[in-house]
Amino acid sequence: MVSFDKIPSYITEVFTDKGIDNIYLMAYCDMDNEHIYCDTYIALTKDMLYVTSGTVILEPKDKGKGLDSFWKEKSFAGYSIDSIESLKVEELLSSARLTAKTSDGEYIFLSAMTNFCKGNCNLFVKYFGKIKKGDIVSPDFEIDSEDDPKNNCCPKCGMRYPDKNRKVCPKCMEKGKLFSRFGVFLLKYKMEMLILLISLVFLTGTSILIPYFSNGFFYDKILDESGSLYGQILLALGIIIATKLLSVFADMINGYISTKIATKVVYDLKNTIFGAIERLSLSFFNGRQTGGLMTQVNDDSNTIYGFFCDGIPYFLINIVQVVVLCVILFIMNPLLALLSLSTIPVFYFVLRRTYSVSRKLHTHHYSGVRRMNSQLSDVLGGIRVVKAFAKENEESQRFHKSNRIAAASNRKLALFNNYVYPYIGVILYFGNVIALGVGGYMVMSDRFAFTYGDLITFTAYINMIYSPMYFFSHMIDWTASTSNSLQRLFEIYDTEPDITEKADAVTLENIEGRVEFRSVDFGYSKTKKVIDNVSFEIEAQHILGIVGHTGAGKSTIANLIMRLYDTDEGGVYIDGVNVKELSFKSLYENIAIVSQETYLFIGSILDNIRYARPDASYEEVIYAAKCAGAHDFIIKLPDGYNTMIGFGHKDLSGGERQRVSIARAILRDPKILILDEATAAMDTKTEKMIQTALSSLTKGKTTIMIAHRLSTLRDAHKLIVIENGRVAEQGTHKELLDIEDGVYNKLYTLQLDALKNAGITE
Amino acid sequence: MSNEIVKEGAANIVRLDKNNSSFGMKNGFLCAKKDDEGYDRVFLHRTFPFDKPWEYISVIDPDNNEIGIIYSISDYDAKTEELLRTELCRKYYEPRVKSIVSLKERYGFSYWVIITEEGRRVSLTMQDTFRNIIRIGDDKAVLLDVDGNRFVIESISGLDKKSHRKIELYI
Repeated sequence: MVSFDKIPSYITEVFTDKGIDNIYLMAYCDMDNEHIYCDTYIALTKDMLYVTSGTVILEPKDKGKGLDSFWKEKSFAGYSIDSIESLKVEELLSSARLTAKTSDGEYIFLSAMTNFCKGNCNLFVKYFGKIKKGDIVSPDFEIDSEDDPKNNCCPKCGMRYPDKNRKVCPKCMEKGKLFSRFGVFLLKYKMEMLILLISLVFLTGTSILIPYFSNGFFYDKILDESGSLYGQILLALGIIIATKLLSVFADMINGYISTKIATKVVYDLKNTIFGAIERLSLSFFNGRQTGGLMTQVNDDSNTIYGFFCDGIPYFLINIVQVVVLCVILFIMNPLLALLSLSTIPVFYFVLRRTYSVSRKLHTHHYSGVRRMNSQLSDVLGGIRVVKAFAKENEESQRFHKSNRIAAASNRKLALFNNYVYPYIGVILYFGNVIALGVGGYMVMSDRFAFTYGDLITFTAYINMIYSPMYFFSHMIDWTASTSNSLQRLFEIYDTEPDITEKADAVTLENIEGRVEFRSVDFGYSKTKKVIDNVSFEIEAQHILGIVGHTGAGKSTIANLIMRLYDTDEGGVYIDGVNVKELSFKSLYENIAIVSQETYLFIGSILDNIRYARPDASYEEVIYAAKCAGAHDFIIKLPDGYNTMIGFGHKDLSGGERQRVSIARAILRDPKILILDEATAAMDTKTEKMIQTALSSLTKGKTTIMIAHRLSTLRDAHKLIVIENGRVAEQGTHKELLDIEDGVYNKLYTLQLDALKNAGITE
Repeated sequence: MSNEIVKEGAANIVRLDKNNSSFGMKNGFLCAKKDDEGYDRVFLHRTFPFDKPWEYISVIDPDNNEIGIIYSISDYDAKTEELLRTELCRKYYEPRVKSIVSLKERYGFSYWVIITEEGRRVSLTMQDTFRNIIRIGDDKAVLLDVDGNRFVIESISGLDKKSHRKIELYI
């Protein structure tokens, strides 16, 4: 038996007691068919589907400690599989319901559930279909590994992975592993890191020596009559200058190496992240904001670099410096050292207490600024609409409000930083006061062998210990933000693309262009089918028109031919080969798409046309542009084909952009061409121009045309009408018009009437 | 202004009320009758779920065609009103959050343990917490978890002090 949920033993006993065995499949729902919370179990045998709802009663055991569990049944029902045509998980909003459609068209409400159970119930429905079809004939069958709950749950905490494409449990992820994993990445810079570390050791050493030579050494050995080098001021100055020069030199080396590594690491990191992003399938981007990904590439690489190249080395050096100084201080005067350093634990205690407040203020400030910025970009983006509706005052007021909130949060944060941190600094300063007070007494008293020079050196060292304290406390937050950045980096890095090329993928040298859909099912999410059992075939060099309402699934068909997504069931075949078996090279070199959404990259018009084939000659580019009807407007531009377009450059109109993208497709010269609403946003004149361009493009190619304007599809060899993801009708224009009350017939008549009313004749 | 547009009749709004329609249950599903036409299954959609939860309810048939709009469920008799109310509550099922027991942020995900007003203790996971706490007005919020479950906080300021402190960072 396969179960997608943990089934308690008392439930299996309930079925056994009823004489039901050989259960193939079980699933759990957390509501009953009245939407009331209770436990509902659904079991499937070869012939029957059973649904039982109830609650578990816990009672103390008769003997010994512990509790016994009993199943209190509320309802039980059984249905013959032969009477059920299909099962479906119907989505509501925060919940769903499992329904059965009987062979006589009636519906049975089996159970309701919250969305927590929806995923597993969908799997139940999937395997129900296979069992009903007879694909599975024994209760001891194996499910696909991608459906196995063991592969989708964290082995440590048992929770389902929140991102199905990434088998990582954020809850159980160890911070240390993230850092050690990234450490491996940094190993290629080990030589530079070593030099950096050596330079930092020098820097620390000289920074410890300078106070000694300019204080204790100078006063006690040079100025004091009893000093071993009494009167040799020039020697002392020479030593002080030499130490300082050494320190400056170490600082320069350190700065040079850090900058060098910084550039390399950030460059490598950005390349790594961008490379990983490009490798991913389209489905990954559907759930994320592009802006978020850009932030990821830029900010995260800087954070990670900052931590590893600035944070870690300075942290290590500061640790060494503090330990060495503590040892020196305790050797110089243990009592004074103990008293002076006693303020550090107090400082840390108070600082950590204030951090929670500080973090809260930072978050408020961040969200305030974010809200204000998004509102600003929103208004600026839609400034034409704002002006057209004379809403300047309202928008100003809206902006003032968010600006006021952002300013208030900024003021609070600044006040907190200005008031609280100096006071906390006073705690450390008390250590200094203790050193001066007690140390001063010791200098004056004969009982202690503590000189004036010792005191000056001691206080200088105390201050050197205090200065890294803020850095250490900052390091805790720095570590947290870096681990978040690392997590995001590995999130992209570890995500397996849905679409992968098979190791033994087939490369077709000469594609003819025959396209076939065989019983294709597909949904962007597992719970909602967008394409439902679609089958059709188009001969090579023929034109196929796809018709349907907005959202019917037309563009999805184009996406499946391009293999931007993989089918859930069935297959898409090109020249009889499943696209999943084809190499990416044969697929992408032979298919081109012109869609309503044209994207032109920053660069010249020439670069954009050549994007499809960078080795195309100038003559070929002009030819392609002429075919696309783009040549005439391009040559009128002062810089012709070298005109820079894209963000910050010349802005082309919608029709012009479309024609450039058609030229791009012409240059590619694909065997299969997909035109996805290529002229939907054009005015009639431009549309006619583009239609002419397209007719030269489609010659000798298998063309799949998706269009709203049905008249443009009249010459197609075949038309398919898509409705709610299914093929409602297929045939030629004439054949479909002949179907009375047919979907195509209705759509065509409606459009014709609308055009007549608008004074347009086809 | 809006009424004038409606009267012009460019689009046809079919208003459903007790005079032209009735509702009932069949096999656990909501069914309806409009004029003389019967529908074995119909689906209710709130057109303004936050502003008008019991008004302007769109009634859709299994083929996704709108049968009409109920301007207010109180336009029907008490029994039908209750039926429609129950069906809407089932569809727009959103447990109310009574308190937040714990909230931990881990690498882009936040892990919540909440107590609902029904007394259930629920663990939920949210991705990109800032984006998935939807603010409605100044004091109401909806939490959207990774499975698509929704939990509503009717009054953020009405939460107990400990719960408020936990959610404060995200609002």
